[in-house]
Amino acid sequence: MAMFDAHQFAGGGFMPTQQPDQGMGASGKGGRHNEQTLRAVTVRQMVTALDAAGPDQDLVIDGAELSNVTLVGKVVSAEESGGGINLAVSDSTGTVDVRAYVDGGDQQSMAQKLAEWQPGTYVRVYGHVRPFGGGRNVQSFAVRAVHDFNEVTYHCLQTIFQHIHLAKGSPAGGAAGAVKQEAGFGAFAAAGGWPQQQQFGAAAGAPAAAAPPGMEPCQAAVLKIISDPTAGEGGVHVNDVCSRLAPQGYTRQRVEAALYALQNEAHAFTTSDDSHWKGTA
Amino acid sequence: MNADAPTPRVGFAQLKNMIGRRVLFVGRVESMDGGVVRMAAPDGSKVSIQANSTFETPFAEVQGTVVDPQTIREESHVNFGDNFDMNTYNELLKLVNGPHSALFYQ
Repeated sequence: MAMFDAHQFAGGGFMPTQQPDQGMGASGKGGRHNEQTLRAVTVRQMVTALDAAGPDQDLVIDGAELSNVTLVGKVVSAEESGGGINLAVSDSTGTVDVRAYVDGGDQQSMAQKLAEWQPGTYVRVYGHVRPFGGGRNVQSFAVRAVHDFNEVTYHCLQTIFQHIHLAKGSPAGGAAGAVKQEAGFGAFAAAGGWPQQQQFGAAAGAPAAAAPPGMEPCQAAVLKIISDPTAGEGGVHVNDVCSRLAPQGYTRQRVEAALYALQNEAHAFTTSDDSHWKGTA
Repeated sequence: MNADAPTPRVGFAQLKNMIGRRVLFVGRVESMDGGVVRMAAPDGSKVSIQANSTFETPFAEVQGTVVDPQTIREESHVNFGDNFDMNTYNELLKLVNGPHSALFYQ
């Protein structure tokens, strides 16, 4: 279980922190470690979780309770209200109301924020999902204008990465929503856990072609071929992979399915075009 | 909070399936001729924008309605500056419109 030491995720922060006093500190519902996670999300993910949860229930995405979230979107409207600013932010998947408090709350700082968050401006929001007027909104800790628009790309990729990390590698992932987070997480680790971590571990001391244990045989065979260092930077054409695996009885359909599965798990990527493949190890 | 009216992030490949729909399209401005802005899509294909405003930076994100597989009618746009990685964005588009579309649009 050493691979799941909390420090590995210190940079991400979306995994629950394993606290030494967890047993004693877990009085009350939820457990406070959940308060320390930060999830990159889309509005659509939150709406889907909202539909699945009751009005007073915690939101759960990919089996993990949602508290602190970050999202990137475009300001649709911004208006002053009671010492703060109410923003509507659209991230292309949907629209969410964001309540932003303004330091000081005086007219000058208010006007400055309203000028900074004009409709059409991209903003990064950090906040907490709260029940609000029958629905939910995001109470923000910080809202800042985006100046480097690669952050838009980055946020979407981070959302996908965290989703895969929490949901995909886990055979218990489907059931995790119904159980406590530690339980789902423990089952995840017991079931073989995170193939990528294992692969990184293997890559450090062993030849790159070593496939993670438990990988489906066709995927392992495909990964071995496309990870061959003699193939060069251009990778291996899908036709070559097929012809080399035909003697083992793997159809083109199975090879292609294996390639896409490997791509989804970040074991493989396409190079000069969609037909040339290379292993990531 | 609602997800009733998404404006999907699309590249050139998706435009033909999105005619009449509102989308977000990021491209690099190649030329401006009256009301038509010619842009390069993240995959390098050419797209025409029926513009209603002036594009001030090399990269821009257009929100608008797809007219035909090569044309978008602008509703508004956001200037994306002069430093935007189109290759990474193109890879993101494949994920968003492919294996991970459930997180975003459907």
